[in-house]
Amino acid sequence: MPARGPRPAIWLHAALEELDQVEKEAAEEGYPEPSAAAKGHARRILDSLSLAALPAPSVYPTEDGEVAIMFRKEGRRAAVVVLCDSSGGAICLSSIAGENRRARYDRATAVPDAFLKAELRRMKSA
Amino acid sequence: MAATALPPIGPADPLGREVFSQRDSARAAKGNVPHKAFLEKPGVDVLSLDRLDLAPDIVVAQIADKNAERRHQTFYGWAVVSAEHAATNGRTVRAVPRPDNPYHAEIQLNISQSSERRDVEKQHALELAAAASWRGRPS
Repeated sequence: MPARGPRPAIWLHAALEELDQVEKEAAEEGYPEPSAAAKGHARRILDSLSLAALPAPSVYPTEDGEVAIMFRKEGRRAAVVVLCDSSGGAICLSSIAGENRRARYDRATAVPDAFLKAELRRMKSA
Repeated sequence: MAATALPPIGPADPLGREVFSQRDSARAAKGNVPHKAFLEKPGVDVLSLDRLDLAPDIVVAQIADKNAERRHQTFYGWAVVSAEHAATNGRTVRAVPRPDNPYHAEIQLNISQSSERRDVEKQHALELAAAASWRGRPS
């Protein structure tokens, strides 16, 4: 029997569909169009995080030209967002029970890192 | 509009941030209020909201509809936070009734000037979104 690796989460397909819509949504909202780099990093991060057991994220453009990937634990004051900016950087923000943390990256290639994974774990256990 | 004295804002009072994006309303209805619902343009220190539960939702929705009309958009509902959660981490909340909206309130972010100001604005937006629930426009 062939070895099985971890399966991507069932939300990955919907998240990638949302990612494919970010240019259209940015145009609708009057936001700058996210760069190909921002989209590429968002896709890679989604692929990577889909191997962890996480709630389904929302994926959307922002008025700062970013692609946002936001996870939230429903019914709790707990959320984590990754913002991939159009110059190739990123910021990760978490807010869990009113305690806020953030990390900024000149290069989004560093994400997901230990900080993001730890904050997602904290969110899940909130 | 009749000028009536409204009570002061209490900690449990719901404050609704008007949402004008259909996509954001769909996300919020699924339990994911996006952080950008609480994010203003860079440097803007104040978020406008509606005090809910002081009048029937349809009354406040009609006010929001007029805001939407001015923006050439559609009003879909509110991302709702309690005044208590709105007023944590240095933020302040106050009632700011307007002639066209007696239920208007503001969250003041009270962010100091720094090179990281925009990141702090986003942090506040995420914290508010994390605490928010969705209330769709009554039909």
